[in-house]
Amino acid sequence: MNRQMNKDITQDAMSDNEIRVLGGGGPFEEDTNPAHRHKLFRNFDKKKMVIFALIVLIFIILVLLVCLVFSQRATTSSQPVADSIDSVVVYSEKNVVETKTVEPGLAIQDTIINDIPLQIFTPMGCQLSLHLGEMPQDTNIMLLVQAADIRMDKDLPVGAFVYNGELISKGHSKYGFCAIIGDDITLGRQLETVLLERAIENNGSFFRQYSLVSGGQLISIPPKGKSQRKALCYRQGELQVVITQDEESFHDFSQALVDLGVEEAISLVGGASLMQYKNADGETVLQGKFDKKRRRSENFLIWREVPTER
Amino acid sequence: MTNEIIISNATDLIRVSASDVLAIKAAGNYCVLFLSDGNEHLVTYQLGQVEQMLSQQLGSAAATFIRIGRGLIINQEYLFVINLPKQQLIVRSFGKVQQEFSPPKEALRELKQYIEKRIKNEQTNE
Repeated sequence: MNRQMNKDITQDAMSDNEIRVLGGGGPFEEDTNPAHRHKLFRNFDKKKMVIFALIVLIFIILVLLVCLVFSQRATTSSQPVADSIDSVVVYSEKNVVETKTVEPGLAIQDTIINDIPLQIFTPMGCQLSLHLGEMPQDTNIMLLVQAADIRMDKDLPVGAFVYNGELISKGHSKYGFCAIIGDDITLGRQLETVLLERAIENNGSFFRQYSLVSGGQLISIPPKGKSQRKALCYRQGELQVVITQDEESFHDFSQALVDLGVEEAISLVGGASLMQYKNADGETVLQGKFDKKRRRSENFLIWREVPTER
Repeated sequence: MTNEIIISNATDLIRVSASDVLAIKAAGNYCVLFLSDGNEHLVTYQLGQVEQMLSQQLGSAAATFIRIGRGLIINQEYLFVINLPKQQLIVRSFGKVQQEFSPPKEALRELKQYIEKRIKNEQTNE
């Protein structure tokens, strides 16, 4: 008999601060005493309201934290897309040769920016070109660095690549670019650029890389760990190659370039990539890992000596 | 309505007079009946279920029992001491069997006010 009673009775809403006189027809009969009910209601709600308010407050704080984290990630992870020209630097090689009339050479400067040891290579009296294929062995090479990255799945350069007017590969996963068209060398950061078509039309060269600095501003790119970094830079009216001596992140490297006064910079193949230069004694120095199984899409920026006009 | 309380389950049955019950205290999912002769008896029902049994079986006579908070029902006929600072409630039978409990202070305060109001009403009605 007794087991058949309403199971709900075991869950009556009796508060620890209440009293109840039995005989009112059951535990769920409404308390008709307004004063008592008010007191009961007040006591019942006060505790639960405090708990509820705390829960709501914690929930709001958590939501705000999540929104804050996501907004910061959105800001830092996506590289700003340049629909228009962000910064395009035109650097004329011919002008340099004409105005400076310097002996071909290579200035090598060591410096430390933000505790990051850097080496700055400034070719002088040289002509820059992009080379595709096996590394040349010319004796007049002043400076040689690997330019565009090569895809792992295909033996092709990453992003759009034009070599002597021939379109080798397409794509603009990286917004930085370098175009060599005639005597004009252009560094920039642009999603779509007419210079790609001009390179094709004018037997020029073009490749893409990460933009690190544009208009003197740091360009944030997704972190990819630490490695030796190299960059092609436009700084104080000169084209330079800046490399790190130690393994650094892209962000720290880019910040160092900004603090160095670089106006425009794109990355070059880093890590153990090949680099060759002539030192002050005229000796050829080769750095990097020389892989016998070299891929046909290997490409290099090469500065060759140009005889001075006397 | 009789003055007896019958609590039965599948295996046993308890029959006791309402006037023999000093208090009923919750013990987890069960209750302990404290009787006026000093005996205690465990019943396999929750306090809320026992409260309903009392109300159904005793009718208006169930008003002698007061539920205090979630864990205690006392027979106010045997209420002896309410001590708020000590948070102490003592019920005592005519045979001087005494049981002491510690209900929540706020409920104890409510009980004290109820008893005082009841006495005042009774005096007014006389």
